[in-house]
Amino acid sequence: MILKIVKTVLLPLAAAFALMFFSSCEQSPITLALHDPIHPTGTQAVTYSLTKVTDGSINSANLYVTVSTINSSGTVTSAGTETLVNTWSSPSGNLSYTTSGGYGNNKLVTYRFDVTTPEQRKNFTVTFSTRPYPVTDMPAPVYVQGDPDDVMDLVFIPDTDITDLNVFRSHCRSMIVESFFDEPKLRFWRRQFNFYINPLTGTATDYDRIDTDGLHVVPSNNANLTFAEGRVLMHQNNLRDYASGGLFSTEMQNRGTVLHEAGHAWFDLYDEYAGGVHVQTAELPNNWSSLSAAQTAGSDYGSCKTSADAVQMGTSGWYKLCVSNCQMLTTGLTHTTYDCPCQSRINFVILDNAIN
Amino acid sequence: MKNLGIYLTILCCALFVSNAQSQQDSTADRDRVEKSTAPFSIDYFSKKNAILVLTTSFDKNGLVIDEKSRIVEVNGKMPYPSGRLNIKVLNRGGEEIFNYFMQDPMQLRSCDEKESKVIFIEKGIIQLPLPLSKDIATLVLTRDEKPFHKVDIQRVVENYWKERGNER
Repeated sequence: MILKIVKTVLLPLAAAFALMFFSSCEQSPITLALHDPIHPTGTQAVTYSLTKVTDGSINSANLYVTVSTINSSGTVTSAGTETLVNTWSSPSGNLSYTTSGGYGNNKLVTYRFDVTTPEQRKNFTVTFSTRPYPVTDMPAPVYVQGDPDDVMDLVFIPDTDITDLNVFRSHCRSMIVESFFDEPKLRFWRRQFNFYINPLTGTATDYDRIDTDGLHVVPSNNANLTFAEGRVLMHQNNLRDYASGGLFSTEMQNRGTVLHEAGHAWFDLYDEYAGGVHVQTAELPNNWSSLSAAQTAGSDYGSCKTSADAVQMGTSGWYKLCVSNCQMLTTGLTHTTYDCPCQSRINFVILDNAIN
Repeated sequence: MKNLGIYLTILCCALFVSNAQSQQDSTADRDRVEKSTAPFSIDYFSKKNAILVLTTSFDKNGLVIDEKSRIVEVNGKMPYPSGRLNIKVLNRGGEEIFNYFMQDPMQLRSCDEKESKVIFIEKGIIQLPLPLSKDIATLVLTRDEKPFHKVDIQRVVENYWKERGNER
């Protein structure tokens, strides 16, 4: 009898769930191409790494680097040639390569990992600039991949309260790795994001002290940051943070706040707690203005949601489908993940931005 | 028992096909997106992509256009639209020449789920991107599909182009 149950019920179930599990994953290994320091000086050595986020083997990999020179107008005065700098054959762990020295001043460095796995060939191309960035009053590209018109752009702005800018730059890198590329949906779209560091500072104020301290002071080159969908003012002191327009403030270590605010600034997602800003966007919302609308939408997310997931946010008269730890409900030190309705909106925006 | 196994197998296969199809769509979307995304080039930040940015003050009634209002030209295109503040840019003939959405700079959000606050600021400074055009006369600001402010900026635009002409 037990054997019969196993054969007729459990085996088909196990097989189907195994297929579902493996089919729903990006082909392994999922890898992240990174460099450190994120915005090196002209004399600092740079370590390139290809980090495996999931298990899986790499047959071989090549690392290519192109170094170009730019002037203070942002014009390339000397276009570099792509050069093979390292190769790996059947590497067992993460890939890493450190240069023997720096690239010099006024450089734009583009690196490309060309990776062959048993299933496919992948290329990851990233550009960064050396410090100081020579282009007057413009944000320095520190991890850029696509045309800014096709991808989401975020500018990290140092606050005047930061005593050690090396710590700030280190947090910028950690924000990329530990927030954006650590959230599964954003990691899936990881080639669709550009990050910059602003050379000029701003000053964040505490929400509870606006009457005395005034509003956030934007950097003097703020108009030059208009192209970016998101601008984050990162500070050292503990403040009650707030956002206005595409500018938001956060403590440097708050990986959750930056993802929540990026949800607003990049993807037009709205708050999932009572008392926040609630809007039902025309396309793929994460807030609904009526219970029936939320219940109807519950069937749009496959097995992820049902109409029974529709709940009111407090007594706001607004409804949501996402789980209670969705990133659009939480902020703070650690990040969570975006739930299915938010993921659908993210897919839509990234597709629309790149294709239209 | 045998039938139950068959039903479960069919159910699981349907779930698998649905899930695989959804994942395939997503991966296909990513391929499409990555093929449509041009590689980064510093040339993006050149004058060929320039836009205008209006800096001016605002109060609870809307934009305040005065002698302190300024327009500058910046390199880079308009950002991807996001937010519920809609800006319609009209030319001297009253025709709409541009229309975009942005996160509302006149609203403050303190995103703390324990004690969140959303307020409208009574006065401050605002920066609005505008297309690179000499024929800009009026802005119409709309929030939640309700137009709430219409302002003439023709003089600021004319001054900008006049000063720029004098520079040449």
